Amino acid sequence: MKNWVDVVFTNRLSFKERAEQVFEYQFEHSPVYRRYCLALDDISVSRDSQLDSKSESKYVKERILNRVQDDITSCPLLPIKAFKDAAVTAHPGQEAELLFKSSGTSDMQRSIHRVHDANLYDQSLLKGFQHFYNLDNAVIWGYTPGYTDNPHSSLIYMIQKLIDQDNSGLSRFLPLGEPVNPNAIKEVQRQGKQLILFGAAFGLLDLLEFDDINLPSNSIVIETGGMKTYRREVSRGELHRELSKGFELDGSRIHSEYGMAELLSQAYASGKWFSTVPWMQVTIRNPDHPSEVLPPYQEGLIGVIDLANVHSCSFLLTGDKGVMDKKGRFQVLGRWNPKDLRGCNFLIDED
Amino acid sequence: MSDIQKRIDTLLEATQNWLADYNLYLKDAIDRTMREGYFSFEDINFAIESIKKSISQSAMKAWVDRTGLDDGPGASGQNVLCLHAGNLPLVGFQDAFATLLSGARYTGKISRKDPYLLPTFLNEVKKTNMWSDMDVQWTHRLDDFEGMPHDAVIFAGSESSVPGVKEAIDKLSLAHQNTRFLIRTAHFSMAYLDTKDEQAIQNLTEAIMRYGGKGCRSVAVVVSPFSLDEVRGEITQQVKGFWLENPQHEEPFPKLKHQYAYNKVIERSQLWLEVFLMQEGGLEFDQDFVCYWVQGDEKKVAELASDFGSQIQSIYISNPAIEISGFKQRTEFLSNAQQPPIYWKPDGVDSLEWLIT
Repeated sequence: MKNWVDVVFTNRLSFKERAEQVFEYQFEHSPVYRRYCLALDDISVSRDSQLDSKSESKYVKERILNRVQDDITSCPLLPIKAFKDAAVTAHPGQEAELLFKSSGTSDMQRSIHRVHDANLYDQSLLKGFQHFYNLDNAVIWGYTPGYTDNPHSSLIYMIQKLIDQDNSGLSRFLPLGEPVNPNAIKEVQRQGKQLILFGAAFGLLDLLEFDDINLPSNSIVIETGGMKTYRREVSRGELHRELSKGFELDGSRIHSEYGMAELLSQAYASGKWFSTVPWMQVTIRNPDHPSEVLPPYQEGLIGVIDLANVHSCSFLLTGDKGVMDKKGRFQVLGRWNPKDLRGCNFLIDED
Repeated sequence: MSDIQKRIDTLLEATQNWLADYNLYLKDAIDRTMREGYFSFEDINFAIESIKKSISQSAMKAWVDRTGLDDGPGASGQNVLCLHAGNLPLVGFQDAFATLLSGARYTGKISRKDPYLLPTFLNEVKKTNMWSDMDVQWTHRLDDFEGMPHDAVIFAGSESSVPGVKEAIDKLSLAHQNTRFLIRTAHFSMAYLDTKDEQAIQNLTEAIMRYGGKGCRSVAVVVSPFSLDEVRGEITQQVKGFWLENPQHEEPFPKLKHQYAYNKVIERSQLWLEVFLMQEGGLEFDQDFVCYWVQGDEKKVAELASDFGSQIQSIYISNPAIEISGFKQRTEFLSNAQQPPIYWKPDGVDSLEWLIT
């Protein structure tokens, strides 16, 4: 079997070359992705009965590969909700090493990401973090529930792995519902380390409710999203202002992480714009025509090619609204809500 | 003769003149509407025929009697602003008609998506002695009415569109402190199909497919004791027949094909109709040209209607013996889905009654 860690993270091959290999592999081995590509193909739609025939499958694969050689964005993007409705895996019938689930209550249908190579995720999250931050000198704090209580959270798994990299003993999950111990902050300073604090939007705001927290000026706070809950909502701009004020940090020290259970790579932002790691590519897609890539500064659905997802599906269309700049950086603008469809609806700009 | 009887007679006369074969203005408006791609000839014709069937002396009298308009002054002296949507041909006709029948002065914002049809009716109204230029006014631009406060405003909206509309009304001083608003929010209808009877399935097809499924009276959700697979053949046959006579005017976005592919992936039962999709479950309402099929009984209909709340316009049944518990007021016959009587109640509110209250 191919060593995918080498393929995904290598810099000897271009992104397109790696993506082609991953596409071919997933088309061959992931029944869900293959079915999606076949059904989406024009000929397959009109020749329904031949969808699963081997010759048809080969023909479609070659056709898509030809298109991919011209333009990598022509790989069909599987709607990310497929992780809720089907087993998205290139190893059907095999037990996964890790199982990540999207957040939600027990009665909600949650996405399940079957991770067949935990080492690949470890490499992705560590290399990804190191792409943006100096992990060697960092003390990682997570103001989130611990891994033991949440073994299916990809985010908490990631924070745990980052914590495990630090030999100083200072990295840890902070106890929830308690103020930060000022002595712990002093100890980080004394050892000349850089403090990096992870937390979800409202978790961090709740932490600030306990007490004034004066973090060392070189600290970084990374919010991991969750700006909208069933009880509360805050904009990213407002959140960052509050965090900057509360932690007494310059605004440039408040960062964001974009990740989800369905992706094994993360994007980070030190301002409004997220940047990706070299094995992940983001495009903005026309919501009415998901194969179409939108030009910079036009809002649409965020499409992701995440090569670290090699054992599930790398070509995904999220349900998030986003916009891209000319440098290939992107903003996340919340969930995509289709405008009111059907029925009489007087629209001031249209009617 | 009472004022209301005069209004009924005059409106009947105006409607007859409007629909008369010799009315070249209407013919021209139909022609322009088609040529400029707003709607298909078949849909325009259907909308006009539906109005024709719904208006009669007896229907108008019944409406007036029910609302008690015959006993009082009605809405005389009131200024009513109707903001007409343009998703279907002549979708604003009932609001304009009810306003005129109520005795109020009518101000209409004609939709830019259906710009020609309704004005031809209003012109016929203005030709009568009963309504002057001051009583019946319309425009395609809302700011033409700037500084004209109204006593009542009627429009259809949604959670996302209402704030923008209200803001524009405020900005243009189209309302005063005591202006009443009738805002409709229903977006789609449901049908309960308990039979494979050919006529019922034909009616269901019309209820789903007419106007590309876009009206709030169009069926977006079918509940049936049968699975979609069990009636696949019957529906396909009826749809083919429907489209032979009523080719779908608007092409769906490519996104519909992606939905088809997604359904394949998760092995969801579906019926691909090239420009329309029927699928079992997955009620996401995230695009047009999709009708959702849910296997269930009358209880399921009531449960879904309760979940959808104010989004539901009507619940259609094919058999008068069927009762949808808790939704009797919203239940209608499937055969009436696209051809409602003139006095039908959008969002359960009688427009005429609301205007005179």
